[in-house]
Amino acid sequence: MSIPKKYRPTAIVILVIVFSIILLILSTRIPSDTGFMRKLILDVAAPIERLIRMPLDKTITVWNRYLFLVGLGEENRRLKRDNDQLKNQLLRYQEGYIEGLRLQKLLTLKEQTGYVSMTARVIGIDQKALIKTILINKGASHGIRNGLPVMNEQGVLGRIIETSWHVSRVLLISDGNSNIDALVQGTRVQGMLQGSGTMRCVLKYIAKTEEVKAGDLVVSSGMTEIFPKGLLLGTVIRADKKDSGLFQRIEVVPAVDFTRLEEVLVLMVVEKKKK
Amino acid sequence: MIFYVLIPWFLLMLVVFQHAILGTIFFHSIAVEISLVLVIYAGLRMPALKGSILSLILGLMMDCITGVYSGFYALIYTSIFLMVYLVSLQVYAKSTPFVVLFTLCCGFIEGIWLLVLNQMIYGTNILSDLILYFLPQLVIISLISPFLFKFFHRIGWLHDGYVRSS
Repeated sequence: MSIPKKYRPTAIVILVIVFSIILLILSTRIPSDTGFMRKLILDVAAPIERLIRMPLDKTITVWNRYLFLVGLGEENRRLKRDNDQLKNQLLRYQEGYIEGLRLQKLLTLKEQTGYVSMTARVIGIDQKALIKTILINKGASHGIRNGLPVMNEQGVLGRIIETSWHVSRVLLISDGNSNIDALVQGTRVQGMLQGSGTMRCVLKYIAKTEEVKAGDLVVSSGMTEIFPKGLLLGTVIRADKKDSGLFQRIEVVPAVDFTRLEEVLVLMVVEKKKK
Repeated sequence: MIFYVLIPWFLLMLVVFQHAILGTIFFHSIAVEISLVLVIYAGLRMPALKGSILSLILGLMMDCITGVYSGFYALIYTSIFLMVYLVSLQVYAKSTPFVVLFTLCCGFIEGIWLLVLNQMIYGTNILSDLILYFLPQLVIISLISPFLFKFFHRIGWLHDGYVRSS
């Protein structure tokens, strides 16, 4: 059977379509590895594609870098801003951490002293005035009253001399008006620790016959009802027997660094009823 | 004879160019199918035997490059070639608006083929992908098809001076 000449071209195309259909059916039905022709075409196409893409990719990379540089200035400014914010944040966290450490020390002290105590924050330091005092953020409404001893983890700071409802004033032991019954820890010799007004104290009324040397610790004697016995007051830095008179001149440096006060502990010492 | 020697290489270069260059230019989001325009050109301006062989080889190369089953694009291209060939026997197909609209129609037919074959062979519905990626590329190839027709016409050995008798 011969196909009329008029329809031959169409018949050829239909034959090609039929071939395509058969090929598609075969390739979907019979699973096989990649065919030879496919491999060949892929192997030929890949290097050509790489060759074509190389300059194109380079151009795109250069363009992207250009765009990157354009945005770099803005990004730099943004990053600097972020950096400043993060620095501030870090500073706040560090402050919080350090405060935590300090409070932890105070808490330990609170447990060690065995007294009921109250933590207060220092809100004002007045060390250059005639009377060397600090202000704390707790007052009469919190149960604070005059005479209560105030200390921190280093030792005794002073005592409350004035209270309002929410604020109290503490007289530092370095003030000239401060007098505390004290004893030298090693020799148990007793005296009176008085502030000298210059970040120093003087241990008074120690006879020249007593042996006191630099480095001895001075603690509260507990003779008065204000300061419980055994609280650290300071360290002897000089004991001078050359002065005329009956007593030695003993200089004591307070245990507390008054320039770095942030939180303090007010010991709620119970006042004994007068008989 | 020169046609049968050169055509596989020419088509290979075309497919690679289409895949590498145009794919990169359009960020691989739109595949600008110059190959479809060549099939349409073959249907309108080339003899049936040469055109069908061109469509078949082009389809097979597209199968290899895109990684689909052999015969997938071959079937699509040869069937589009047949349709274009039959239409070209009936109409005057030289005006630019006709080429643009006809390319658009053929693109739609290819889209339908892709939808049907994907559903039949792979069991996947690619309608949303077609709308997203195929329709924009259809518009692009329709608009550039007159220029591509001129380019293909300049390649003498492709049609070898053949003029459709219609």
